[in-house]
Amino acid sequence: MRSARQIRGLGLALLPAALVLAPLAYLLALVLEAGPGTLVTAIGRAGPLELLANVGLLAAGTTAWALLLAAPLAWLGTRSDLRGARVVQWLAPLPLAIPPYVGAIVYASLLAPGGLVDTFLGGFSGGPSRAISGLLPIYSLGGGIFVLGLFTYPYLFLLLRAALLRLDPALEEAARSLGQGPWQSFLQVTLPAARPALLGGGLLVFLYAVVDFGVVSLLRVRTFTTVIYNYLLAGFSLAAAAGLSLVLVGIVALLLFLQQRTLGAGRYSQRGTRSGTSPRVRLGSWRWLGWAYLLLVLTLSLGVPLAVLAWQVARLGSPAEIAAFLGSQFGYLRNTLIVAVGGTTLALAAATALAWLASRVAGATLAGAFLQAGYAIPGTVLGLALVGLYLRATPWLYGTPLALAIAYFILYAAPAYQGARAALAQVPPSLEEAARALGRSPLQAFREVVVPLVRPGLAGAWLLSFILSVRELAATLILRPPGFDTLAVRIWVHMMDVGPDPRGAAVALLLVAAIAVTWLLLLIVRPPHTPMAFT
Amino acid sequence: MTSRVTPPVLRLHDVWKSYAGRAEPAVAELDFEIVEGEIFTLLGPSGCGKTTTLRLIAGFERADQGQVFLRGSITANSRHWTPPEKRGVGMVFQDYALFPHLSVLENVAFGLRDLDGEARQRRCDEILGLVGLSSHARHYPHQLSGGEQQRVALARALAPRPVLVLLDEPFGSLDADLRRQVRQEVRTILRGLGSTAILVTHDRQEALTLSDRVAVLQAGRIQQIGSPEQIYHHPATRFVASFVGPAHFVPGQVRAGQVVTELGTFPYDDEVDQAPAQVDVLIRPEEIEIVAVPRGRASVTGREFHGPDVSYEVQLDSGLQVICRPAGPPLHPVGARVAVRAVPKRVVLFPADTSPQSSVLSPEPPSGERSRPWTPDPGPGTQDS
Repeated sequence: MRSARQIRGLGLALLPAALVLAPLAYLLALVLEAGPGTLVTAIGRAGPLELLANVGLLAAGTTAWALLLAAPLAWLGTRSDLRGARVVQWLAPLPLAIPPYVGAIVYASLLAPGGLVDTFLGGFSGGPSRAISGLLPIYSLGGGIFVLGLFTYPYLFLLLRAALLRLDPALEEAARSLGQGPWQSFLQVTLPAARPALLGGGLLVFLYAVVDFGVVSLLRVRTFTTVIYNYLLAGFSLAAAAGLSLVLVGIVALLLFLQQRTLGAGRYSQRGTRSGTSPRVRLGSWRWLGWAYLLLVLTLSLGVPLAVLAWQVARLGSPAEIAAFLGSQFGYLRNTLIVAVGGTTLALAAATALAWLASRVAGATLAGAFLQAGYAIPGTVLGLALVGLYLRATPWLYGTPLALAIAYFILYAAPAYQGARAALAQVPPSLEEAARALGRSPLQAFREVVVPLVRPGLAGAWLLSFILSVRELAATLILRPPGFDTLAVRIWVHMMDVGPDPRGAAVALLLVAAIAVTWLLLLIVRPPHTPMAFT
Repeated sequence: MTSRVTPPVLRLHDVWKSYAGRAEPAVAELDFEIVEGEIFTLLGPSGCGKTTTLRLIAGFERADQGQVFLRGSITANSRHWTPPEKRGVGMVFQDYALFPHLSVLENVAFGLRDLDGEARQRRCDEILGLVGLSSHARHYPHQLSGGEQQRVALARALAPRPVLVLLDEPFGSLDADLRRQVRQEVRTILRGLGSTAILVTHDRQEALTLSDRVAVLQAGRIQQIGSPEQIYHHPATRFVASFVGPAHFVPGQVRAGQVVTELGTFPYDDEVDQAPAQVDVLIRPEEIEIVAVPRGRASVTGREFHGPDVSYEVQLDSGLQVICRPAGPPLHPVGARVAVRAVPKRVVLFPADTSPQSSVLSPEPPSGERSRPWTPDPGPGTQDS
C-alpha cells in the first residue's frame, strides 16, 4: 500500500519535473552532440575565464553596493529615532516597480557620451562636454554594478527590515541593561540576529546580478548571458552556448542551495504580536546626515529615473504627439498582458493544486520542489533551450504566444508556489476536519472553508508572478513570436538600435505605470503574511 | 423472553493502528465501551496514543485492525468505513478550529444545514444561550478571548445534537485560573444536555474532576479503566498509580498477615494472592501524618505552603525521602525533627521490581467497572428463552 502512494506522488511530480528538466536535458544533449573537442575550442573562444571574472566582479560589486544602500536605510527605519521612519518603509521598496533595465536606460540617457548630463553641462561651456561622462563611464562594469545595485537594494532592505523588526526587543534591552552602549549592542546583538537576512538577501542580489541580461546587455558588459544571446543570434556554435548555459545553471544552483541554507525558515514575516519595540538610538544632530542619506538614495533610485523618463517623454513633442505615440504602443501592452496573464494563471493553478496536495499526499512536496526549480534557470538559458526544444519536439508551438506563456510558467511558478503555500498555511487541517465533523464532504469542506480563506493570499501570489512576467526580458527576446513584442522587448530594441531616445523612455514609462498599478492592487489585496519574492 | 441490552454509544473492539516508519504501534488492543450520558476521559502522557484514539473514533484516521461501533452499528472494520461527515460525531479541536471568515452565529450554524431557517435560528439561540455567548453572535472569532472561543467551539460541536462529542485537550491553551472555571462550565453544559463525551487530556486534575470514568493509556495501550476513585485508590499498575497522583512506593516486607514498612505496619490479607516477601506499598502524601518529636527519626528538609494545606519534604534517618501533605496546622519549620507514619485507607501492594508496568498485587476487585459486554441482537427467528 505504501508503494502505491509513492508511485502516485512520483506521478504528480512528473509534469513539473519534465518542464524543468527537459530544457536542461536538451542543452546537455547539444553539448554531448558536439563532442568535447569542438566544445572546448568554441567555449575557449568566448574566453570563459574572463566571463567568470566579469560575472564574479559584477555580482560581488552589486551586492556590496546594494548592502551599502540597504543597511543604513533599514537601520534608520527600525533602530533610530528618525522621524518619518514610516516614509522610509513606504518609499524604499518603490524602486522595485522599475525593472533594472529601465534603470539602465535612464542612467545611460544621463551619462552616455553626448547624453543629458553632457548636453546640460555643454550649455554652460558652450560646447559638448565630456567631463562627467568621461569620469563616470556608464557603459562599463562599474556602470552595471551601479545600476544593478541601485535597483535591487530594496530586496535586501525588505529582508533586513523584517529581521530587525522581528528581533525580540528584550534581547537588546537586556544588552543595554548589562552595560553595553548602542554601538556595542548593535555589534553583539543586532548584527548577529540580522545575519541570516544579510546572507540570504546578499545571495539574492548576487544571484540576480549573475543571471541578469537586460542591464548588462544595455550597458555593454560582457557576461555569460550576453555571450549566450549573441551566439544564439548569430546562429553558430549553439553547443558552446549550451555549454556556457550549463555552467551558468550550475553556478545558480549552487547559489540557490546556499540561499536555502541561510534564508530557510526566515522567509515569512513574524507571526503574532510582540509587545513593545526595540530601543531607539537618539540621533541628535546626526539626524541631518540620516535625512541626507535617505534623500540621496531615494533620489538616485526613484527621483532620477522618474524625472529622466518624464523629461524624455516630454521631448517627444506636444501632448497630442505623446498621446499618439503611447496609443501606438497599446498593441504591445496587450501582448504583454496576454502572455503574462496566461502564464501566471497556469502557474498559480498548478502551484495551488500542488501546495494543497503537499501536506496531504506523500511525494507532492517533490513535485513542488521541481515546480520551484524552474526559477533557477536564467531567462536567457531557458529561452535558448526552449527555442531548440520547440523546433525539434513541438514545432507547432514555436513562435506562438503559448510558447512564451509556458516559459513564464516555468520561470515564475516558484513565487506562485510560495504564495500558495503561505496562503494554505493559514488554513490548518483542523479547519477542514472541523467542517467534516459537522457534516461536509471533503469537496464541500474545501469550497466552504479553504477557498474563502486562501483567496486573498492566492490573489497576492498571482499579482506577484504577474509583475515578474510583465517585466521579463531575456527569455521573451528569444521566444517572442514574430510581430508579437512585449513592452519589455520594445524598450530594449529601442535602446539597442537607437540608443537612449525619447520613444524608448516613453515605453519604459508605460511599463513602469503598468507595474505600479498592479503593485498597488497587490498592496490592497495583500494579506499580512505573504512571502518575499525574489527577482 | 428476549432481554435486549441497550447498545453502548461507542464500542471499540481490538483496535490497532500503526504509523509507517515507527516500530511500535500508536495504539494497540484498544477495547472499551461508553454508555449514554457518560463523560469518559482518555488520560495519558504525550505520545501515549490518546489523540490517535480520538481521531479513529471521529473518522480522521483508519484503524489497521479492529472494529468501531457507534450506537450498535458498525462504523469501521476491515471492509466498511464510514467517513467522518456521516458519523454524527462532534469534535472540539485543540486549536478550536473556528472558521475565521464566519461569525460566531455562522460557525455554530455550520452543522445545522439539515434544518430549515427558523429551526436553525432557534437551535443556535438555544445553544448560544447555554454557553453564555448570546451577545456575541455577530462577532468574529478573532474578537473573542480564548475562553470564549472555546465555548463557541463547544457550542458548534453540540448544536447538531451529535450522538457523541469528542474533546481534544480543550483546556490546554487557557491559562491556569481560567482553566478551572471553564472546566466546570463545560461539565455543567455537558451534564445539562445529557451529552456523551470523550475527553482527551494529559492533565490528571482534569481527568479526576470531570470524568465519570477514566481510561489511562501508556504507549498505545489501556492500562486501566475505572472511575476516578478507582484509578486513584486502586491503581492497576505502578504507572497508573504514579500518573494519577503523587505516589511513593515504600519498600516493605510481608509477614504473617501484615506488611511492615518504615512508615508503619498495615494489615494485609494474603489469602487471595501469595505475595512475595519483598513488596512496595503505595503511599500517597496525604496519607502520611507528621508529628514534631525532638528525637524523631526524620527531619523536615523543605516546606511549601499551599494555603489550605502544606507539603513537607521529609528525610528519614534511614535515607528514605517522602513528601507529606497533611491538612492544617501546626506548621513545622524546616530542620525540625519529626516522626512520620502512614495511614493508608487501603493497602495497595506492588512487587518489588521497578517496572512501571508491574501490576498491583491482588487488586481489590473494583465493582461495576465494566458492564456486561454487549452482544448484537440475534435477530428474529432465534429463540432466546
